[in-house]
Amino acid sequence: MKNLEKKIIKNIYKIEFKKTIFEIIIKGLIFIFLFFSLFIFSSIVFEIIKEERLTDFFQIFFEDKEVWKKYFFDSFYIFYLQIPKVYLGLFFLFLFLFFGFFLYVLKNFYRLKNKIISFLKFIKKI
Amino acid sequence: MSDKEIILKIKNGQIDYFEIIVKKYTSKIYQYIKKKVLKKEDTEDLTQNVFISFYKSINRFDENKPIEPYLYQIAKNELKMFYRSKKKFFSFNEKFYFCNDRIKDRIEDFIEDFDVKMILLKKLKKEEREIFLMLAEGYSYQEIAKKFKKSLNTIKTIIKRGREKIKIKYF
Repeated sequence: MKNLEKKIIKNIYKIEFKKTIFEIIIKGLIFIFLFFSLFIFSSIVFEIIKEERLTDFFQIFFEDKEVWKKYFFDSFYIFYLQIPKVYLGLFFLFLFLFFGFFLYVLKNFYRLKNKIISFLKFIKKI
Repeated sequence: MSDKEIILKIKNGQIDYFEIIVKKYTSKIYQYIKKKVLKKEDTEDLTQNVFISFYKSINRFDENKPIEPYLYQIAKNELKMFYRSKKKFFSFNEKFYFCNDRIKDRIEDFIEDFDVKMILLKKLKKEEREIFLMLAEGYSYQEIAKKFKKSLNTIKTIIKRGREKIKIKYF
């Protein structure tokens, strides 16, 4: 019976080890993809903002209240027309996904840590 | 440590606690399967499969429920699949076929013989034979009744009559 128990436990560890490795690889690939996508879209957005000098819009806030009241909506409208909406949308989407995924991995990190500790304990026993 | 605490620890990734479940229930599951399967290797394989299936479904398992009945249910399902995969050689559980110990003792010596099983079943009607084969494969009376679209009592009567036929014909 002890041999059978050892066989069962060994198989369980084999299955869990394969599953964990696969999980780590997949999560790693997703993380790299999201980080890379975020980097690309943020670079594109900042490049466009720099070229179009869109940051000039924010200077209106340093003007007098009268100037601000008179020209704010016009400036805002021009600013809205010029911003790269698609790229900005994708940037925020990937930003949201990246942090969401990061929090998910962080939340489940203790489980992965416990599994790795269990594997090490099992390897030591062998 | 209770089973509930062990399950919670396993769900949290501390898979070394699964060893406690294996050590606690292996012998019971092994003995249960041993009664229904002839070969030792098959018994061990099926016992392994039970625990592997349980481990794979452990995240869905409600830790407030007892483990033992769940393991037995998995064992029953494994036995069903095992019998289906080995259609020619099925477990001849004499409890399904014979009514008393005297008859069981008489044929115990050659009961493992596949040809004897086929002879015994040959004299039954087609439907009766199919029912007895399903019983040997581990199907419950309810499942058999559902398959044949008959009531539970009808199935029980057919089985009783089949047993009587075998008893009268050969002993």
